[in-house]
Amino acid sequence: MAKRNRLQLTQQLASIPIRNVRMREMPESDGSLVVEIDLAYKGLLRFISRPLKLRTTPRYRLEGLGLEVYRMVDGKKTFEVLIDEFAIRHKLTFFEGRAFLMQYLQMLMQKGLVAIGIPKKDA
Amino acid sequence: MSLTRTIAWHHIKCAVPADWEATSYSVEERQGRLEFSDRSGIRGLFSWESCKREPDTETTILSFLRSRETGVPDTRLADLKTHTVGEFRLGYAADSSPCQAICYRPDRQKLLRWIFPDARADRLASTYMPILQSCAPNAGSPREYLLFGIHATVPADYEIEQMNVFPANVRMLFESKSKRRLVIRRWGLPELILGGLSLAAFYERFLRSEGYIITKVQEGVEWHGMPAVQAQYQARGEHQMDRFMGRLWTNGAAMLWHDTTEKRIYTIEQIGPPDSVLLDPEKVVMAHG
Repeated sequence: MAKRNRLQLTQQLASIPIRNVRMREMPESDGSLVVEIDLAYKGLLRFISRPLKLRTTPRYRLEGLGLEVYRMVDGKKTFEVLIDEFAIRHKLTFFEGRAFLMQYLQMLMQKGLVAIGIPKKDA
Repeated sequence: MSLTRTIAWHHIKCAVPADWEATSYSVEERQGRLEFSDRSGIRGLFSWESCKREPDTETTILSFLRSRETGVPDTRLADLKTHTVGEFRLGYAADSSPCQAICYRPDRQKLLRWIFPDARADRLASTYMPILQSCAPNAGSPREYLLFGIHATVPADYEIEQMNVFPANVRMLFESKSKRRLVIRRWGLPELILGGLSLAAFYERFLRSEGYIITKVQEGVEWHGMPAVQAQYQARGEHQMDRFMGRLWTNGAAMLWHDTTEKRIYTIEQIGPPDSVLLDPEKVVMAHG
């Protein structure tokens, strides 16, 4: 089995979350945000996605803390800066803020809304 | 560096720097450890273990330094630098190698250790030695537990049985020798926790989800000037025949309060066998971060 590279804490904190630039945002009247993203299937799925009617433009509604985290991601702030801002706003400790943000960013990454830029180890 | 975060756990009360957070813990009284980290990594490790006789301090520190993980396997006794700091004997070989401090408590037959990642003179003077100086025994009755923002003071016959730590969600469960149970919780992000519900509606729903039978909920009460909710509940007995027969314990008392300044929600729940006297919440919980 391939060994997964685990990020060092310093590397993790220096990483920069970036929004998917090909995503479309549609603000709703209730304050939430609907985002739409084009899915690109690879390999065989590319050919059978249409006959199988697989989703090609999934939509997600972001609200509450999920939306707050999404709005904080501006492509410039490092993960550490985001944690500090989030922790101060919600009176959390650094590690509480880190655990929360990791959870939310992981969710946003799985949906393809956010990607993480990781600096090289010696950077 | 000022030590402003106070810690109280099995066998110890001490102060650590404000940015040190507990990132690993053990609940067992016999043997365990607490790990402290800041954003740059692990900063200190406190451990305790049973030990019938006082070990030879220098030999113990030397064998630690010689272990593979420390990176100084060739350390000789002559290389060892030691200091007495408070109750602890501190030893190290080089600035860059880890240092270990040891204290033996004969009354409880416990060996206490602190391990720090380096022995740089500035860190020894500003952080490690002051931590060791601040260490005091946590024995007698009542006993204090202060970790992850929960500060509980309980009689000595209450033992910590369980602890659950999630991000901004901590639960400590104590049980007395007479089977009384005490649960203290602390939640962060109150808007997320409450989800638009009132304190009373949330707490009632929560207690039901824990399997309790609610007999009374009183809202509009205050706890040290903070909005609070009190509840009475019943729960299936946890021990021996009560559990076997499904007999209810009916004296459950619960309270939730919302510290709006600290942005935390605290709860305390107590229950015990019939006719048992529960603790006064005023004497048990001190709410602060």
